[in-house]
Amino acid sequence: MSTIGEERFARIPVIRLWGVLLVPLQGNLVDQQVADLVTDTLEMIRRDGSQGLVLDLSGLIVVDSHLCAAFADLSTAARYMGVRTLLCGLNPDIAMTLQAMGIELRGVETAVSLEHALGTLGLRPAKAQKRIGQALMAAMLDRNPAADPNRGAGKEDAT
Amino acid sequence: MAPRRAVHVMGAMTTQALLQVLQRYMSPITARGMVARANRLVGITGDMVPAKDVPRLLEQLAQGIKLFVPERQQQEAIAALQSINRDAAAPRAQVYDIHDERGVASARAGARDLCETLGGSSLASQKAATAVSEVARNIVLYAPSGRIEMTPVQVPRRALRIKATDSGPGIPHLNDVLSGKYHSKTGLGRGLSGVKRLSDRFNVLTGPAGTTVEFELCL
Repeated sequence: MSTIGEERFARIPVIRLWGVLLVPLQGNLVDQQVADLVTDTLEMIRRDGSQGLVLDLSGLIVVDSHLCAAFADLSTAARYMGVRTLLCGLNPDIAMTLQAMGIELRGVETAVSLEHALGTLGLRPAKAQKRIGQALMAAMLDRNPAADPNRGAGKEDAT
Repeated sequence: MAPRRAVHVMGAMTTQALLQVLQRYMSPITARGMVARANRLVGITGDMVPAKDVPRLLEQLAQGIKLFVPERQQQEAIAALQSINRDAAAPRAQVYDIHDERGVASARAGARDLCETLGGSSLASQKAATAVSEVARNIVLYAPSGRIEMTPVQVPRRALRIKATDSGPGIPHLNDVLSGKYHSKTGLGRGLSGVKRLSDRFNVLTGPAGTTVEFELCL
């Protein structure tokens, strides 16, 4: 448990989702919470393994050089353990501020949104998988998929 | 317990106060019409103008003054409106005593709130909060304690002046730190050099008796 003086700080949740570890970061973080997050995450990787680690930063109010260093360190440590890390959800103001400060998140992969980050790690919604499968099948049967009224996306157009 | 020592006054102003000033320079009907139009454009409903909307409202009213007030009185009228803002609304300087991480967290949130109250853009608020976070963290890491003062500045342009002082051992190799050559153990070595790159005026005084970092960020 992390404390400063008498005060306790909430632990940042690490969510396991289809083999990927997902960390939603929100609000105004204290260094101790970030330090705990690093140990928690690496311990979860050691215990259960993981196909990837996604840090969603969209809820943070400030990302400064120290926080960037912590993310870069976590990403490097996770890579040593064989896990790929993606940061996602940086808003334009934060991105411009980091750029203006000359902070380079070297060696850290980023994605525009959580959806893209999960996609990059190979997770796609079942519907999209099915559509890709149907398109492939249509191509193999040499049919024009747009003309097929049974295809999910074409239904509105057909009426 | 709370590190925030001075709390700024929310700079709301009333529509009534605006009308009283404007009626010195134009007919009551014109004044009413002008305030109503400005309120509508800025999106204000009711008799209170929230502090964050005051700068935008005054901009709208200044345009109206240029249309309805004789040229020789225009500057005076605009100044009279701004003085309502100054007396009733100008957020005062804020002081944060920084002893630990909690102080860092509340100083950066305070910087962001102050910028928003002053009508700064979201990017300006982000930059201010980030810069304050960097200097506050330096205090916690390298000095036992210190203090951050944030003062709104109006002249020559709207800005936030931030002064961070501590009685720590001073910054060795200041030039390397500012040029970004230095790499700290805990960070990227981009804290203070990043603040310098974000700010419009930047000055550091450092010695064995302590450090003062002073800078201004445009809003």
